[in-house]
Amino acid sequence: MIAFLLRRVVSALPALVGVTLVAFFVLNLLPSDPVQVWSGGSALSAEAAGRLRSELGVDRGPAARYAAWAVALLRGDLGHSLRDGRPVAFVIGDALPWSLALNLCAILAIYGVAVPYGLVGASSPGSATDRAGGWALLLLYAVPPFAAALILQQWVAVGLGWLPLQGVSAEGASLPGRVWDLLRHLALPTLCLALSGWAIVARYSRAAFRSVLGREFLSVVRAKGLSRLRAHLRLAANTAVPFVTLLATIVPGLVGGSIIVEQVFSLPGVGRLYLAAVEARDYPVVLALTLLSAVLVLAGHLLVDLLYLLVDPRIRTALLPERTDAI
Amino acid sequence: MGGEPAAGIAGSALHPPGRAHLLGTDALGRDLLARLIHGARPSLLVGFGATAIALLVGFCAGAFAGLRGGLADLLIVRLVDVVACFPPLVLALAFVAATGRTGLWPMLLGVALSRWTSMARYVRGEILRHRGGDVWVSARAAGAGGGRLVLRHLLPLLAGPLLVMTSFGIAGAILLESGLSFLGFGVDPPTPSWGSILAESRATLDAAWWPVVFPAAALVLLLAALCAAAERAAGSETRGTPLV
Repeated sequence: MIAFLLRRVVSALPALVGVTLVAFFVLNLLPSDPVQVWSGGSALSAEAAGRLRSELGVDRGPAARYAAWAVALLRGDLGHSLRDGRPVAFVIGDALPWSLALNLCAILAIYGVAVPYGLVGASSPGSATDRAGGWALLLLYAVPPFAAALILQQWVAVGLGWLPLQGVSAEGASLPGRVWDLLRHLALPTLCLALSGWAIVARYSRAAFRSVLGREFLSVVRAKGLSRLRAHLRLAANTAVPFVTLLATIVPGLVGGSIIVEQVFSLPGVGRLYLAAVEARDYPVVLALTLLSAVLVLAGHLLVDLLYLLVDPRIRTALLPERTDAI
Repeated sequence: MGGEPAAGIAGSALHPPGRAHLLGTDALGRDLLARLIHGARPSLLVGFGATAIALLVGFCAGAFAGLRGGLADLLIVRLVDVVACFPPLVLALAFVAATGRTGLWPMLLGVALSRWTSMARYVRGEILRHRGGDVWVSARAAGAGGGRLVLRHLLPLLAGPLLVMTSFGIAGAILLESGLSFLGFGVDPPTPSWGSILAESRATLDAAWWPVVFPAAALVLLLAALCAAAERAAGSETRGTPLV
């Protein structure tokens, strides 16, 4: 198991290096003078511009700058924010928990709704419910997260007053009270972030369930007296592999979507930090977060590979022969 | 009706939909219908333009990698894998930020940059699949070179699926464009775009519903139409396969 994990991590290293190259060069190799661009076109004094130039290392060639940046990166040094001078790692560390909480809620919401929907749709293909569901999903898929956010804010938060309009807090007399407050603030953002993922996973799960619903093993376990519910639960285990794969498909969309959702709902997460940094031309933060987004996606791929081991015994025996000997 | 999308009329701010303004006016008294119609321009331009660039670049890169093989193939595949790691919105934002300019062109290129990889992957895979097949061998026997083989004999085979990917791609590009415009990194004001109209409507969220609902509906209808068209073209066998 450890050996497999190590092999997998080592095989991801070239991609990791590639990701740093792309992030660095997209942000650096454009024809404009970076100091002018990143100082926002404001008239810097010659002295200040010179200082910024040497700090960014603009007077060196791009290859030398990349090398310096990569070496610092290996030491865990992401540089300092140009806005307040704090280390970039701290700035990101403050924002990361909010984004992780939001994305985790969204993933739970996506699978929690989409998988049962797929099972219901697949058990009665072509029925009115199934067809209506198909159209509803197509429509959901076409709703941009910010449009959904504005409409929900206007309707649920302003009109009905059920949920807070924006911001986030975890206040309350007791721990359950604090959790309740947090969940109330995260409800609308989670819903908006989950929309497009819902459409993708639900349609996929319907197709996956349909392809196994007619198989003999299902009739066999039913004939042997397993209830319909338990039979379907067993069935869900058989379709777990495509669902795991799908996780890798929806993660990039979630990371991008949280930028918009965090902005609309004023959540102090990484997405909002990214926008603020882009707006303020806070180059070290933008570079670090661009890199982080891709690293998160890479980590998602790794996680998916590990989940394969968990859900599919065939993959487990193929990859980890030593374990089957022991059992 | 106010014909000019940028021209506001004093004293007519936030008119509800009615005879004078079919869809009402925004906070500056500008006619919403006129702004919606003009706002379609950047959405469609970026949607179709960026997808055209992505298709061209992706096709060429994928075909080159598939035909050449060897080191070129390895490098292109690696590049595609790495670029595909970046969430599209992040890559487009980083590109727009790095050029230091907002406007149509940086946005168009930024969107194209984040969307060519899936095309390249698909074309390369199909070329490897057809390599050594009947079409391939007969065309080679008739003396066709690499370019002719791809353009004359393989492109027609790939046209259907590519069409499906293209219409999903246009929907994705329009989604990105409106997102960038919504965040303030799209076309420069006062040029309207559906995304920026929605962003402006945030200020009057508690007072007026029409500046929110109509541009949102326009976006949803356009995107749903593109997806429905793509789906129809794809037929039933790819139902449930996410292409975007």
